[in-house]
Amino acid sequence: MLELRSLSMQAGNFLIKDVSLSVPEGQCHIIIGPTGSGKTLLLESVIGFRKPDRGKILLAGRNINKEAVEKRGIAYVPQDPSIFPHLTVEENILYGVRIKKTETGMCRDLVGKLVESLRISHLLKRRAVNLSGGEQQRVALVRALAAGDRYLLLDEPLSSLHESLKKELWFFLRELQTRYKLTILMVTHDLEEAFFLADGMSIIINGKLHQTGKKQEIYSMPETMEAAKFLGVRNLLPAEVIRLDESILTVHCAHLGRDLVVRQGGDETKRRVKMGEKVIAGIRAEEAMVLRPEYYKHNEDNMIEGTVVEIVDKGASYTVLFLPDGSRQHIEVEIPNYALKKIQLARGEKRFIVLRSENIFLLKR
Amino acid sequence: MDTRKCSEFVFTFYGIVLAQFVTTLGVATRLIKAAMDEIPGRYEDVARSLGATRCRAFFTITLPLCKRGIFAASVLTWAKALGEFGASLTIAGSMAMRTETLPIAIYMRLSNADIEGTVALILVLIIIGLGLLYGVRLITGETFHA
Repeated sequence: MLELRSLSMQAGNFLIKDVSLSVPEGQCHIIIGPTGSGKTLLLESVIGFRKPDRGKILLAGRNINKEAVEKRGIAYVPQDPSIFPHLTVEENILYGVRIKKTETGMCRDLVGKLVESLRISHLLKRRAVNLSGGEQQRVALVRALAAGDRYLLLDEPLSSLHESLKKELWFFLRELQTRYKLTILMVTHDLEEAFFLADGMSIIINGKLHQTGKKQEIYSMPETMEAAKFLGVRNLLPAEVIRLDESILTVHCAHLGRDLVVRQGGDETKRRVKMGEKVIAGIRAEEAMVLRPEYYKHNEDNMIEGTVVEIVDKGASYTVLFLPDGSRQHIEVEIPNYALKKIQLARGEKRFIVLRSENIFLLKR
Repeated sequence: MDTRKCSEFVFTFYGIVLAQFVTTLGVATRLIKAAMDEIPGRYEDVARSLGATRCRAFFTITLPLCKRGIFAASVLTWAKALGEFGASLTIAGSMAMRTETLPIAIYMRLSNADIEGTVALILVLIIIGLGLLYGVRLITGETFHA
């Protein structure tokens, strides 16, 4: 297990404060956050390039704060691939292998498979200066994996790859992680990549850890406003808790001029809020749905009538801007292509939408 | 301080070496440092994450990467030493064919009103200087601004 306990450090005016997170053996933990939030700094302290001011870094139970970089047994792929320009691709890949004297048959098999999977076999005799950005990043990944360490730190390793290769590598990374039981701590700001690869996730914004946990918890129940905004939640409605029942919770949303039923989180949500407390009710655009007229008679929770203000085509889906009657705040609804064709939505049309009660989460104001 | 040891340098070949070493040391250090500063520290960091010690990372990564820069710095330092005059004259004197460097030889020829000899030596010095600059440019693959 790789564990950070109350890690704090300062770099110039930037401060990372009390970061605690853990990555169980064989799992992939992703640190997400906007650019300049301290993600790379955190990785650099784990690998040993920076000394933390306070806190502990534990690797399989041993405190590695004072251990030299080369003794830690952690492989690292930096954001800039840093392929050694005076060596060939093959020499780059075998650099760590030769130092650790692990050039065994198994290692050669692994390197061969990695080289083949990442499609760099034709590059082996070339020098790094002649490689494109994407090729360099693939070589850096193979070089780190070939060294044979079971712990891997990845700093946005796929950021300069084109979409199709990037998605192919997501599957490849998952396969590698499962096959070689790799423990991965990775940094990215690409949410799709993060949710694809992660077992656990942490959100770090401005040097502060906002949330850490399983990816499903993070997706469905962000704990702070900043985390929710970073995760792309667009519908954040100021509200007040007006009823706390056994199984459901009701909030009054003044902007919508109506009450919303919340079933999300059960006891967990109820523990977090009190009667009369001012909160923010959040729901993802993809969890709201526009009803077809034949469903209007169904008595669903949180049915809201209003006008379709705008429909924006995003390729794979449409974003619909919906203005509830008597409200000043728009609600965004995400509709897949095929669904929009079925419901035949048009601008200016009066429709009902439903904010699914089990998908609404509450944040403290 | 043993003055006899110091006198070993005075008016000898070793005096020239000492004078040129002292006067070019600062320039050499600056040029070599500039060559090393051009190599991103990230390469060494990555090498260490792959298991190399600090020393091994320096000798296998940083040093090979800046060898051209170091070679260019050596050539330019040698060129500066070649043209060094004041310190050599002060310590080693100007004994013909013994402690006579090219600039001192030019000075001596000029003192004796040997204009042809002076011009010939100046031309030799210019050709060596230009040749070295061209060589450095070929090695580093770029124009050298110094």
